[in-house]
Amino acid sequence: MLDEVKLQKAAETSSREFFRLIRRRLREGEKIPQDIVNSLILRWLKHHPPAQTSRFLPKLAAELARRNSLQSAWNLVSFLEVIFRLRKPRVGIYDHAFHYIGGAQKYGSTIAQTLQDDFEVTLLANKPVALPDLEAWYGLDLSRCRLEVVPLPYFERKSRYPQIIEPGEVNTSGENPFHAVGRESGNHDIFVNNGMLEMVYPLSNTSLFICHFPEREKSRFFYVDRYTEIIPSSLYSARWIEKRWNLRPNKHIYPPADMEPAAFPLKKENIILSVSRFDVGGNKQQLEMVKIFQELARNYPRELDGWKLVLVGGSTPANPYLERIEDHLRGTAAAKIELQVNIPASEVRSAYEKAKIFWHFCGLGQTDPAKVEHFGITVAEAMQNGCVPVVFRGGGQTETVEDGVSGFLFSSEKELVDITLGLLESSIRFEEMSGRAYQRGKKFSREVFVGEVRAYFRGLLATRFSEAASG
Amino acid sequence: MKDTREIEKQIQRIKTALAEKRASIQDFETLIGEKVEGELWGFSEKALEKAVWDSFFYLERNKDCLEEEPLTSHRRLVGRVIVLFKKTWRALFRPYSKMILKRQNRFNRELIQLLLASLLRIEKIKERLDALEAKAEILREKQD
Repeated sequence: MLDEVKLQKAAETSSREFFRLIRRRLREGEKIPQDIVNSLILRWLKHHPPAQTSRFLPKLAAELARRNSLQSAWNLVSFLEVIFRLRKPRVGIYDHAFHYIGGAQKYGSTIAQTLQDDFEVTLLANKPVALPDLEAWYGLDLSRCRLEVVPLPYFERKSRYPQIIEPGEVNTSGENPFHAVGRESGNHDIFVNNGMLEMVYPLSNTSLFICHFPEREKSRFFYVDRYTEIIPSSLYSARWIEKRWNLRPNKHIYPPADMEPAAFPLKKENIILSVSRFDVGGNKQQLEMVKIFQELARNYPRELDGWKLVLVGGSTPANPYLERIEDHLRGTAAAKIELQVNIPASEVRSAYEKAKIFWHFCGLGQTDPAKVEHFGITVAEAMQNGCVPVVFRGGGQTETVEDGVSGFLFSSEKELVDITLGLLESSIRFEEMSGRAYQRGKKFSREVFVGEVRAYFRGLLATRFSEAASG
Repeated sequence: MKDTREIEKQIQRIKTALAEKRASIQDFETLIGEKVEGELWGFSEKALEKAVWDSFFYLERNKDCLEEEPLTSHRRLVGRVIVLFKKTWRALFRPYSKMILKRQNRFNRELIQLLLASLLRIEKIKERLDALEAKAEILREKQD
């Protein structure tokens, strides 16, 4: 076995010797990791006249293609293109659900917008989706990005619902359908797996795995350990990545919440608000909110006088959970409760602006960690509007809300009732908390997210795609 | 770095040549020159169970080696001749290959049966174990 130091020395002193050593190592059947290939060749190019290096470069590439792999030679050439500034670095951002509106997809699209001036950014989807749609859904400008669809025939054949790409349906004994995406990843210098899809094998020189939660257990098609870095979207996710996959993630980047009002303080009304999808399985627990609010109104009519509960959220048509809530409300008309389903973003914004208190129960009574809020973007949005959050003590919410400082965390129904009554009774307490929630909400703004993403990618360029990469 | 125009030209030339080769390689593992399948070690019980049944159904579906795959050729002009040649070749040797493959089929069927029986047996043992654990839990609670 040849050690790296010997190769590095040869790279600086003699082209012939360097080429001989590389060839020997490859012929011995030993693969050279891509980062080492790139750094050695860069070092060699730096120390020799172009006339000499250009003579050896094709030979080196051919030898790499033959002995290491064709992808390895391809990656080397892509790396050199970036180093010699023949083109901008290419970033491919993949999400198997880009064709749906979702928090994770907003995260990936915002990264795309942030990077589009410094990189050639391509959004990689598995189903057709138009860039103007993504722009409209998330309020972004993606005019300098490209979009490419990588079809996955496996799901068209297999699934009863071909529009849904459900990785859990993949039979791990057959062929991995996501190799088509892995192959495409090799066309980019930096591949960002935004859909936390562990079955995609990355081929790019640098690869990032963004993870909101490690949903599935390790399987035969598990390649997260092949990524250069894992970026969790909260500390809660980071802890579960370590626990479930035994992998150490890098620094987390919180998702962007962009519901900041034009001015603060806002004119508030006596509203307790909840903004959450009406999940078919009832995971967000709006029915429990209704019941607790009704109980509060029954037991504390004086304190609750003039207050109403507003439940805002998106829903699929014929949603049995939403029907259950509606049935329940029809039976009990006493307390003031409003349902606002599938309302436009401008009305959601207005609901945040008016509400004083924000309730979020997701995770209460849950034993499955996947069903606890991984971050809870609506909590951050509410805080940006000075709503005082009263949210379940679990998941990412413990990171967003500082208990007793910028909001409240509860673990039981009794705690929730006590905290809420405390807020209803004291307007001074509310004003104080509202101001602090507003300040705290700024930490999760789109501006902060953009700043963090930009700094992160600049760091990547500096360490992995500059002359510093030669070691 | 020094004057790099010559290297830049070289890079472009190499890239063009590699692009063609890369496009012609269909198999993922050939492209990257290594096996990519993960090891079963370190799987959770749930993931192992899925892997076991996935493998079983794959074997079950593919147990018949007498099933013939359609003969094709990717070449445009001479493709038909090649397919005809392959068909003749297959027809000529069918009696002999059938003799061997029939034995293989019997063996495969038996093996699948054995595997299924073993897997079901494990399931039954697991059920009994779960029931015993539940009983033990009740007894422990009573004792406390």
